[in-house]
Amino acid sequence: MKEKNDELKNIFSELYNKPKNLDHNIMQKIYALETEKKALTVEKKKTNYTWFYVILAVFFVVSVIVGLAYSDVKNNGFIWGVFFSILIPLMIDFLLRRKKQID
Amino acid sequence: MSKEQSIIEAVKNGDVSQYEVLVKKHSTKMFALAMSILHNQEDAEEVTQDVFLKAYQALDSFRGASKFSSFLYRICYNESMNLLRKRKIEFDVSSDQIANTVINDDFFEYKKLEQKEILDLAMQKLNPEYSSLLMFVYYEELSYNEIVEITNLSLSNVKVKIHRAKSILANVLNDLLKNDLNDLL
Repeated sequence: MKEKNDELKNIFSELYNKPKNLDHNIMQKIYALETEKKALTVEKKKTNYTWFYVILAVFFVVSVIVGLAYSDVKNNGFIWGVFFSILIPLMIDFLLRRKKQID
Repeated sequence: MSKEQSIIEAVKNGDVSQYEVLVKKHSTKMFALAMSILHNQEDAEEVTQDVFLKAYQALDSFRGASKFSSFLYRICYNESMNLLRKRKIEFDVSSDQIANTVINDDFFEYKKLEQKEILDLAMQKLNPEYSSLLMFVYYEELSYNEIVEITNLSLSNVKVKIHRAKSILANVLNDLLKNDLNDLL
């Protein structure tokens, strides 16, 4: 009886042979999963520019107050023009980035 | 800490390449179990791949209280059964068809290749629960307690079902042997 059982065990062990490339395919899937995970982590860690723009906005408000208090707007039109031509594109950029983050 | 446990810890700590050691060690057994339930190489291959993917994703929850192989077997058994349920495959031999039979001596006189083909045919006719139990007993040589852990059946249920599975296999094999071998293979 024991001999028969042992023989049966041997036949069972040889019955279902795995395909040659099975291990390779499994590891390919594992590496693909890991790459996907890493890509997601990098995406999450993208630089957040919000604080930069907040500081810029504070600086802008302060500078407007200082500007209005100490300078003659009519006589310094060129300087104010340069100031706004830098600031407005930065504000538009900020709004666009924020919209992208929300989407 | 066992060697396998230290490999698992290394994988948990980010050394993905170490997982290949575990794959190489266990994939043969997982594929055999999936084949014994599904009897289709493509399905068994797909299930085996899913088993290792799911095990990898759930590795953090594996605390080492049970064997890693039992952890894999449990996933493999459930995945294979789920796939069967989806496919709604029916089987030739009813689970109720039980007679306390032993395998006819003729079977052991055939050549190995023929024995394998006859056994494969017989396994295809069994209910997947029985064929998987036979794999656990004959191929994997698992203890009853390990089988309980994998299948979620009670200990007494496992014992009864294994006894039935052996009898049904013997019945099916003996029926097959009664026919002309050339017709079978």
